[in-house]
Amino acid sequence: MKINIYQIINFFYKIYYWIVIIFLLFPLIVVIPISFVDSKYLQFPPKSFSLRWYENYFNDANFFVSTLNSIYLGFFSSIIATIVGTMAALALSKNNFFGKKILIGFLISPLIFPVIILGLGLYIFFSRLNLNENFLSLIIAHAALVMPFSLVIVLTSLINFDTTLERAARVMGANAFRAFWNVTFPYIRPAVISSALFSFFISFDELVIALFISGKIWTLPQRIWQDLRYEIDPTIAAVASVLIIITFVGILTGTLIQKRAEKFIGNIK
Amino acid sequence: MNQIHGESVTFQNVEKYYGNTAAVKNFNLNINNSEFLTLLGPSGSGKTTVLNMIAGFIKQTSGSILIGNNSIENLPTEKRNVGMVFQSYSLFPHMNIFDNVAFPLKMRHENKSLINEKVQYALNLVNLDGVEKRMPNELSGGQRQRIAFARAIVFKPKVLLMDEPLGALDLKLREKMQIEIKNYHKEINCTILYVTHDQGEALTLSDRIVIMNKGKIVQIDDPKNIYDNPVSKFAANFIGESNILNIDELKLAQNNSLLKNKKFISIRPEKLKLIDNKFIQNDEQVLLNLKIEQIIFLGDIIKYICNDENGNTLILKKTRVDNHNNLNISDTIQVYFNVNDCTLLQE
Repeated sequence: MKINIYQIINFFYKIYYWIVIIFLLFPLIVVIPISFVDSKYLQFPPKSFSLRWYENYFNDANFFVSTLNSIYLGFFSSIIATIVGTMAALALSKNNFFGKKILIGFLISPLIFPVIILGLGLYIFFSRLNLNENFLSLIIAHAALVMPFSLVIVLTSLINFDTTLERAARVMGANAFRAFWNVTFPYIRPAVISSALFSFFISFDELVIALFISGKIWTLPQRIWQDLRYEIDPTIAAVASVLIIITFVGILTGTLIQKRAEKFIGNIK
Repeated sequence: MNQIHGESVTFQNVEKYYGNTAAVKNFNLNINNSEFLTLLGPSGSGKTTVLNMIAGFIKQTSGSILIGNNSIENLPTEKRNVGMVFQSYSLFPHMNIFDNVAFPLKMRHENKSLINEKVQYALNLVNLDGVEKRMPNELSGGQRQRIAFARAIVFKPKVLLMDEPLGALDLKLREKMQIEIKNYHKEINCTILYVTHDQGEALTLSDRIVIMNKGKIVQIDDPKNIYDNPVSKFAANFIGESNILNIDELKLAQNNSLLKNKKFISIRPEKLKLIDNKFIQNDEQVLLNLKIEQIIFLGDIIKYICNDENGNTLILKKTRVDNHNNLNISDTIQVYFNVNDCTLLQE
């Protein structure tokens, strides 16, 4: 029997792949059982189970306010980023000009730069304007951070868009806005929705920029961070579990919308 | 009852430059009411540019375009009221057929019952009633193009632009659709400006043909004249096949009328006749000695590719009923043509 060298390489790749998956997922898998412990300490494997830490989370006013703050923050920064990112994507897909690639690179740079550098830059920028410790500044900062995601997702969806469709709409009596609204937007809508979802969760999870800018208004990741530093009790595991579930469902929804959109686009061809 | 009366379209010295390159130069054309006019030319000849200027997708560098008596220069695309059929159909993929055809009417805020009635009429015209609820991707190419046509005429435009509408269809379907388009034109009677690079299509459909090359008009005429009297080598070769001969190289009788001209002539392959024993020569005939290089069998006709004594390649076409089936490659044949069958070329 002859064994192909590629089969061996393939086999090791598979092992490598599963090790990486387990390594990445293990913390998530561990934290969920811990959140159900009855003891006062983070304990794994749990010896007895209770929902007291979940009760603690939902009854703790600080945690509740922080959760609300994070939801507001995610919501508004996602809306701003999605609108700005979509508009930028439309402009970039329609026009060819000198330096277009450089401009795209510049626009998606928040995605590439280490977040701490972006955070520091924003901190200095907002200090000059006396806008630190301001919730609105935090929304703007997060919008800047997540905008590249909308830009990239919508721009990708526009690659296969047939621009004569918009011309057809125009020649049939639609003005520029109605041509966009009736023809182009339905085509990119799945990409816009999924980019809004991704943006929300990226902002919802974000800690570093919030630490720099938010001041006294604490977001949920900040609250968790604070608690981890001073008192560790299983409430954090409960919070983390809730976050994991919500994020998982949200990102899954976003991905499904995008997959459906790809199938829809594929059908047109 | 449902007839649309066309509007004339006039181009006055229209030019379009991209940087220093001219896409369309010195373009003067008057398209009559309800005329079917075809712009014919190779790709890059500027024909689509002309169409896009009427639609308002691009703006001319200079000159003016009139629909009826009105300059459309300052009207945005949506106010020009022209219909358009695109090569890629450009049906809206997320709308069903009804919504696609109703789109121009909805944009014009017509009321619902009127929209229904007009959509029914348009679908009926293209013989596709009953597909209202289907999506564009559920239809075949030919059906999609019919829907695109229905959508373009549903709001009764006075001018209809068609940009290589049959380019994506296979040959048989294309021929069928040509006849249908001709019938639609009779029925709705609007002015049609049709763009194609297919000379057969242009000959079949048009009232008049405009041959374009490198952004300029080469010739404007009706199909018969454009075939029989091409003005230049380009026109002669672009429509059908042609033999171009230099008059200086021909052996002409003393009082042959061609002698007065020192130019090129074009003679269609089917006008070259074999000399047989009934042949009696007169002064208005030109004789040629040809050697057959290649024989191409085309079913109903046979094409002979030959060389003359001066090294020119000539094409000879014969229907199979003619008595010439014994010709072989390398045979030398004698052919003749009548002077009034050939065309003097201006260049």
